Amino acid sequence: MSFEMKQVEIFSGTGGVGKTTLATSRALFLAEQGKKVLLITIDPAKRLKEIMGLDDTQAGEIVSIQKPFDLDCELDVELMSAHQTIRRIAAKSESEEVLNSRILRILTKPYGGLNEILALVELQLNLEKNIYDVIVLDTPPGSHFLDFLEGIDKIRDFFDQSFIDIFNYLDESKKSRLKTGRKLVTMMISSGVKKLLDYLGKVTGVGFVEDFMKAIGAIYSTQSTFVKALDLQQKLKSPESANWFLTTSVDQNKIVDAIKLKKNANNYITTQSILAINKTLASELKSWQDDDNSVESKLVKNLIWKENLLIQSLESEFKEIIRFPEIIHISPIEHVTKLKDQWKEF
Amino acid sequence: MSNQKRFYIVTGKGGVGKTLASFALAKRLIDDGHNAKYLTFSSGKIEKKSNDSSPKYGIPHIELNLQDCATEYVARKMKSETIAKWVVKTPFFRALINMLPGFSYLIYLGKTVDLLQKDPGLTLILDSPSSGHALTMFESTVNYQEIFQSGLLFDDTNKVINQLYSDNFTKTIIISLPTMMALNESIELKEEINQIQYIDTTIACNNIMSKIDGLILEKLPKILQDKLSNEKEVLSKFTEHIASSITYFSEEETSKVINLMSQEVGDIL
Repeated sequence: MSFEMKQVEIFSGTGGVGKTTLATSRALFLAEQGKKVLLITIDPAKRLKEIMGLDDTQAGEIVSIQKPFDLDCELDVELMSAHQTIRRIAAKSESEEVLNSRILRILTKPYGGLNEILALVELQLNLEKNIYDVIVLDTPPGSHFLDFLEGIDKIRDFFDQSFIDIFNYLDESKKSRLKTGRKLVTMMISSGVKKLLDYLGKVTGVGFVEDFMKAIGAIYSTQSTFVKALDLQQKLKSPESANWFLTTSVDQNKIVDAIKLKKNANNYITTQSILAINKTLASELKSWQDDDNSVESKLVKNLIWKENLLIQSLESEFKEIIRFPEIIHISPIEHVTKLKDQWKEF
Repeated sequence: MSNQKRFYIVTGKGGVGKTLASFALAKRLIDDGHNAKYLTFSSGKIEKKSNDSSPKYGIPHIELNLQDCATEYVARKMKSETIAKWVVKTPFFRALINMLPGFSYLIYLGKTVDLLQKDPGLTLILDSPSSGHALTMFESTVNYQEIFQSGLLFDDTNKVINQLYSDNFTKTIIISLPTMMALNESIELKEEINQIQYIDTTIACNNIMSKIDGLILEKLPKILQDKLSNEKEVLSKFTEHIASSITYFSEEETSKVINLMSQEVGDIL
């Protein structure tokens, strides 16, 4: 069993499986080997914060941690912040409008809903810096990982050229740059946008439509940065540049979810997928034989059964399966450092 | 159960047993003679999808689909189903909704409130998205109220908010696991939900092995003994935060687990 480090290493999983803990242990393992590592979490639950002892004021900044957990290495970490990413986008595109839009300010709140899409941009911006050997990415749980992957399509849909022309036309401030003539009118009629906005105005009030146009205009002014994130698609699809760890754990009944996630994600991501199974107990439990009908024996059998079922259902779907033992300790730091050493085995 | 609510939102980190707990809660209500249904939202995207609303484990199920809910809403506002179907299908509308996942929750919650208002005897148990996104759902109501500011949508958003946040209407149940991290996260989620708008929110801890009836610690393999003492230590640290606790059931059949669980979840309601 072997796999090499890749430029992007993505951890996804059904949530609550120790995805962040495993991602952190992987980042530490690579950092200890002298690699320049950036660990980003886009999981809004922000477990990384708890593990690394960061606070919310550091969200959106890259924090360099010297000697994390007293290990002889250095690790850069970032808690993704949608708002900070928008700031970076604005700076890059020299567009202040995007910061002043009332609607965008609301939507880029931590739970405003734009996290996944902005995370793609954030990843791309960090790759462009060209200073990291590897970027380890801890993604949102479960199907929201798909939101992240589908963000690529959403960006493409949204910046479709016909929309860009229409919004340039509708946005007063851009009238000078406007394409006129029959072509645009035809386009508007065929896309139905104008009619739609008339309806929208009736429902939402004209004020909203104006603010909304401004917000859209502002996003479009940063178009080039967003569209660059589309390059990521190639990167994620290439087994040469990305490792994908689908994380799951035996204490969860999430087999169907894992298979579904794998199937859907295959459209977007490298086929070089590795199943990381966390919290395995069976190898330790198997030696304990007790065939009576006691509650204890029933519990042990149930735990072994669950673990075997998980592995049997998933092994045909993945190239590699790697296992991590359950670490029984109260402190998350202990978990991370113990799991880190486990990576040597693979 | 004197304080019974109309709408239970079951949330928590993925894999903590939300789905089983939702079924167990619905079963408990049904067994007590209530008209309760298990509710799911199909996805945050406008897409044609057949709804799977067949009963699960003998429990009635409603699955809402975004395209249908959006069409229904637009049709009511435009007073025309034909226009509504067209509006919802335009690439622009689709791209817009798909870019703004929070908006889809508003549409779903609007439809849910609608169902509950039309049938005063109905109780719905929502098997909701995992924690981070449950907050997107709660925030969506407040965010869009702020975004629209006036107009029909603003009024409708207000109606949804007023109903959801009215007395004895909504209760959020955060399902957690007996580990430090899971419980810390649940407490954080509870605080964040309460910050958005006060909602009756409670934490239920699932999969507790030390609650297994008649279990003798010394008879277990060493690793499980350690696991259980660790669990007890964690639980004692969090007693004040955990409103109810659910046993780990060593059963292979899901319907059996739901049955056993339903006998324990009465105090959550």
